[in-house]
Amino acid sequence: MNLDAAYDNVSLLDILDRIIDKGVVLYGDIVISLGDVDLIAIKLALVLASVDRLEVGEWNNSEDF
Amino acid sequence: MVYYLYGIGWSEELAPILSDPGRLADLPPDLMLISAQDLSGVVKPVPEKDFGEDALVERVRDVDWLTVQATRHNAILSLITREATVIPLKFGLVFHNEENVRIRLETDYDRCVRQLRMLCNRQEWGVKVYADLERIKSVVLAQDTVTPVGSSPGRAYIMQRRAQLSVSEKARDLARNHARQVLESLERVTVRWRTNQVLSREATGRTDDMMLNAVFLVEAGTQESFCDLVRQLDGAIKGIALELSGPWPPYNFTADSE
Repeated sequence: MNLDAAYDNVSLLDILDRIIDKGVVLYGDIVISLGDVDLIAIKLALVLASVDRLEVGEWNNSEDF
Repeated sequence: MVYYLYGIGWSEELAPILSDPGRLADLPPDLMLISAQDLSGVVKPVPEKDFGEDALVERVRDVDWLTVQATRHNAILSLITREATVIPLKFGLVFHNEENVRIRLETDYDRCVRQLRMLCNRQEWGVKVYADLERIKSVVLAQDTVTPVGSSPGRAYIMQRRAQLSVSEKARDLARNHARQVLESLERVTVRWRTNQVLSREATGRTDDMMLNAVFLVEAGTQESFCDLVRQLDGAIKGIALELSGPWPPYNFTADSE
């Protein structure tokens, strides 16, 4: 597997999880502050849009692990 | 126009990349550097109607728009991190003018330098572990001796039900243990790691269950062996699948606690 091939697996959710949830907190002039609820709503909207399903996903917590 | 800040790195690493259009051809041509001391911010002028004060909060609710922007944010940082150490910033960090970006770099100078030193020659990789519980159940069943069935039909039903439940529990336990073993194996060959939220089937679009959603910070020199190990672990156990993604800009390893 070369690095580009590995990159094909990247899903939009992975990207969103990283760039909205993670990443350095730095203060700009304009900052969008997405609360947890908003974030989940956005993720869910994306999921539903992509798989075209109506069920609401259950967001497990990694604490289960 | 307002100024969208993607990431921060060393000027001496970033300047040659941005001044040579052939080097990373996919980068937007209007990407620019704003510098303070030896640091530079990677910045793109963006329209105020999308990224201005109130516009952005409204805009992110549009899934299609957010999809395009999020993908772009990540693509730009991914391209640059191939050739330079960069602190990846969160989505939607916008400044009114160039001077304010410079002031921000000055203010956070020490913190940025610390993080850049820590991230030097290291990349983030993601590993997800999925378990096909039905398949693992069949393995558990094959291993279990046949449960004796009671005399009455009612008792037989209860016994059967109990046996089924315990098989499910055993399969889940087994899957958890496998996931834990994967984490322990990979932890040994990486610099840092952390686990993230496990995603539901709706989110993944898969028919098996995510047991582990982990990220690792990997030394550049050990990337190949890390990926080899992931490949080895994938398929080593019936019903357990690993999914590798990366290299990513190190989003998961730039928190201040690191």
